[in-house]
Amino acid sequence: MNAIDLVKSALYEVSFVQEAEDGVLVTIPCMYPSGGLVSVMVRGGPTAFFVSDEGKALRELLSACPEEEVSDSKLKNGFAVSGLNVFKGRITSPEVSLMQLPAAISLVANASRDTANWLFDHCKIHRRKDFKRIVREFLEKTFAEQPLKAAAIAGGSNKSHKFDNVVLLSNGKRLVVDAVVHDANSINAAVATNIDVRERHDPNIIQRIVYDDEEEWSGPDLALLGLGGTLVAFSRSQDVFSRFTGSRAQ
Amino acid sequence: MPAVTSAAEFVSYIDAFLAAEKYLVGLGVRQDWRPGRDDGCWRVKYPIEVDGEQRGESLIVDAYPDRTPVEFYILIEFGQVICRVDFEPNGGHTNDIWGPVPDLAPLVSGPHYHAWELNKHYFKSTTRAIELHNAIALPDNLRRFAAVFRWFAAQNNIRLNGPLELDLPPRTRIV
Repeated sequence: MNAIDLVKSALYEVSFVQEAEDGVLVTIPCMYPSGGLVSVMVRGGPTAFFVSDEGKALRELLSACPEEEVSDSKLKNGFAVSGLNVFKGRITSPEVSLMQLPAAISLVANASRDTANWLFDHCKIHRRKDFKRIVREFLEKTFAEQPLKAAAIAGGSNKSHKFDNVVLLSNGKRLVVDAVVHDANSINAAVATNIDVRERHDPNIIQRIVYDDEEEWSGPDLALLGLGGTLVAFSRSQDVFSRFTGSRAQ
Repeated sequence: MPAVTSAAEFVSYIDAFLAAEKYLVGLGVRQDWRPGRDDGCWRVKYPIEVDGEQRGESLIVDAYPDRTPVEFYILIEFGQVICRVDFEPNGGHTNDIWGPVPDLAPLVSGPHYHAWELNKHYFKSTTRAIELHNAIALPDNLRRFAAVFRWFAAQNNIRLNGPLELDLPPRTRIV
């Protein structure tokens, strides 16, 4: 074999054409972010064709971030080529002629790869973590020498509210730390509970609401949460709560 | 999942998680496939239990029964995927041959498995999704869903107690 034949032979491993159930699958020597080979489906013929990525750009994202919701309009942000359509997650060409087919294959394939790259760059990880446990573990370390326990505290309404994190400070006051996650139930419960406890007007109770600032909180959400009391972003907890430890009594 | 403040901590946590004996919650119960995140996709999801606790990790199966040949994906996720089978008979994958994992096949044709061990070196951030750059071909004898599922479970120390009450969803479109 000469050099050209060797290269052709190598290329056939990453670029090939296969008959599919209702079209022709074209794989090209290009990769998605994960390393998967880019392929498009060509349907139609002999004089009019449609080319589609069959939703592979979206599948690339879902293979890494399976809970992402991506609309067709969002997918369109991933590529700059005009004339392509997005429908139900698939990037597709308009009807093209045989003469236009090579370009359409290339354009759809590139749009699919570009979109996959773009989606990946804009993918936020929805890390589900036990935020309440994280806060408790943090408080246990911070107040290692002071008792930390769950306790029930009656509010101004006389309704009893259970708090997971109540620290007895060295000055005799109680520090009540409420960990809140970014969902409506958690927010509403924290606001109602903390307002009621504040209505006791007990000078020996200090309340703080800790929220996970790795989640995206809008201004109104924080304002609503703030109705319950003083807020502390978790990333600032070290600075804030060290002020309450025994070495720096309040 | 405990608090992690660095990529190294996250990698250590996942190493320990994958090494631990795990169970799928609800495996013995007939599952209903539900529409997945993209067109033609059907999904089933099992919470993963370790030492009696479910900390948010899940095993997900995404299936495309209307494709010929049928395609499906089996993955473990913590909000992002840490390992995955891509059952794409007509697909292919290019490995990171100049990356940190030696002796990888440059190309993998057909169904393949992105193992955590081959990809954890890429994990550099706790806020960006990790790309699973490397994969190995599935053994040739694994061409049916149940067999692939059992193999994946064994690879990741997931105990399947009893029969697998799960099969791929039926086609929804007439050929």
